[in-house]
Amino acid sequence: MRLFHMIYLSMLLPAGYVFSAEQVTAQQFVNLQQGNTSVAGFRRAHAKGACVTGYFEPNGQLSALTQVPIFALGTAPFIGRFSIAGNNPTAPDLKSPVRSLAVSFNISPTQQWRIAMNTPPVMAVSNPHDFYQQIVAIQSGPQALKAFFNAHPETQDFLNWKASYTPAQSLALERYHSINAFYLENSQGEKRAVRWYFEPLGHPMGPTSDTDNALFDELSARLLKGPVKFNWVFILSEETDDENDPALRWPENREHVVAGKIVIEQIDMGLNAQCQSINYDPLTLPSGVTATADPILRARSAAYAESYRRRAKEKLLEVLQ
Amino acid sequence: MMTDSKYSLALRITHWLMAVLLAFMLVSGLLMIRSLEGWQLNVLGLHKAIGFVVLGLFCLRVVFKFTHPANRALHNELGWKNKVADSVHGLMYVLMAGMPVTGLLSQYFASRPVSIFGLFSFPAAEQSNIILYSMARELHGLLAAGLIALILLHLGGVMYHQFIKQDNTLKRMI
Ligand code: HEM
Ligand code: HEM
Repeated sequence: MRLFHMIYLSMLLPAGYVFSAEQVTAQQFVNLQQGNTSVAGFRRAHAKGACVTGYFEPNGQLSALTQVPIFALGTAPFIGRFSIAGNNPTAPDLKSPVRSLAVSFNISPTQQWRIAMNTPPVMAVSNPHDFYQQIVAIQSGPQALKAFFNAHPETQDFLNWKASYTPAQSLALERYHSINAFYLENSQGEKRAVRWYFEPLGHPMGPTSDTDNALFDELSARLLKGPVKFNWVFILSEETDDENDPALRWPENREHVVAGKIVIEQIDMGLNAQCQSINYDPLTLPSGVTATADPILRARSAAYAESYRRRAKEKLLEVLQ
Repeated sequence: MMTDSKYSLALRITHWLMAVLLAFMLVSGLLMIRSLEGWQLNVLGLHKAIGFVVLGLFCLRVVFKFTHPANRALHNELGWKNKVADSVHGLMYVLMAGMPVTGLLSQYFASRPVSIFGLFSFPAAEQSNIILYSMARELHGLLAAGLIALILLHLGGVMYHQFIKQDNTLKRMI
């Protein structure tokens, strides 16, 4: 009888724990991101975006470090998505401080790799609870944000980057960073913490318009003339680097390995294009890549799932009506 | 067969194993969808893999159910009480299968392979289908609520036998 009771009472305890602990939940986080103006069927963050397709052409340089087959020779197709940060699917492109690129590799029926990258090389803070407070501060205005930065010395690397950053004239000319570190693992079981970024290989094509769709229009026009290319560059950590702190930049002199070229060929602005169905949860990893303990990285899975669930349900209801 | 004879060992073992695993599945499910903490990813992995074990165990239990028939414990019970007990048991069987199936389907349609303790992986759809994902995901949540309700009813039945009828129903399962 005791055992019986204990088992089933234990089912009620977690609820108590969750609601008493002073931790931000995935639901609270997504509520904050979507604000009062979320649009049914759209992502709660990075709502505005367009689907692209292309392929990765490896040069073999990374295959000693990981068993992920896309780094061996051959080409690997992907479905990507360019986006800008924010909850508004019709926001003016040039107002967003963060631009993004996500890619999904369908390596095999049992191996998928989802990647979601942003323009900054580091986060301002090191954990999701501080990140929540940072968003609250952003929403409260410049004074609050300044106070937030002053109270959080770990924001220094981010602020230094911000001071040096000038937004590019094109989504094709930005550098997109993994920010969070991951482990690569090779077939001998050797692990190495890495970060990566996509380094643009294109050139400016004259001034951009200043319409609401300036960046996506520019990208479409550019793709009519030919593919958009990036180098996929990996930064290899050394023993002394902290792979679990996304707010800390690793020293400049770390080994950089170019793993190959990302080639983007087509864009589809359609609201029902394939990438809109994808949850680019960066913790969807193939064998050969594993998550670090970085608290920001670890927080992403539940938050992305919550946003995905909400927009999926809205799409389902739309279809049922 | 005597009505106070114990359930067969096979039924007793699968019953308690299932009880512990279902408790774990419900707790882990409810916790992990809320948590932004570092352990979320590990618990999510365990949830999927153990959920798969539950499906296997369920199949085994159905086989045992037919090969080891158990006598009804209610001696001279009113008909409706038998019906309630039967319905609760029947629905619990449906949900014990429905939970892992909708869980697996949600991941299939989200095009997210499910690794079972790193031993092997369930294949996922080549392209995600957000509508079918949503159907499976929402069903998974609804069935979970149903399962919790049924477990509470089931516990109510145990209490009824133990404290009101004071028969040896519980003893037969231990
Ligand atoms: C605690 C930290 C973070 C939280 C809670 C969070 C939350 C979210 C959410 C809820 C979505 C919408 C998901 C969907 O509906 O599919 C999203 C999308 C996205 N996030 Fe994050 N995010 C975090 C950190 C990051 C970081 C560090 C990066 C970049 C390295 C990033 C890049 C992106 C991108 C590129 C998308 C859009 C992906 C797409 O096109 O579908 N996020 N994020
Ligand atoms: C007896 C088996 C299972 C039980 C009792 C169970 C229970 C639960 C519960 C209670 C939740 C939270 C639901 C909500 O509040 O909406 C949940 C979520 C979930 N379960 Fe299960 N589950 C089972 C099997 C599985 C299996 C086999 C898989 C996948 C292979 C799975 C994958 C998931 C996923 C992906 C989520 C949601 C994660 C999210 O959206 O953040 N479950 N489960």
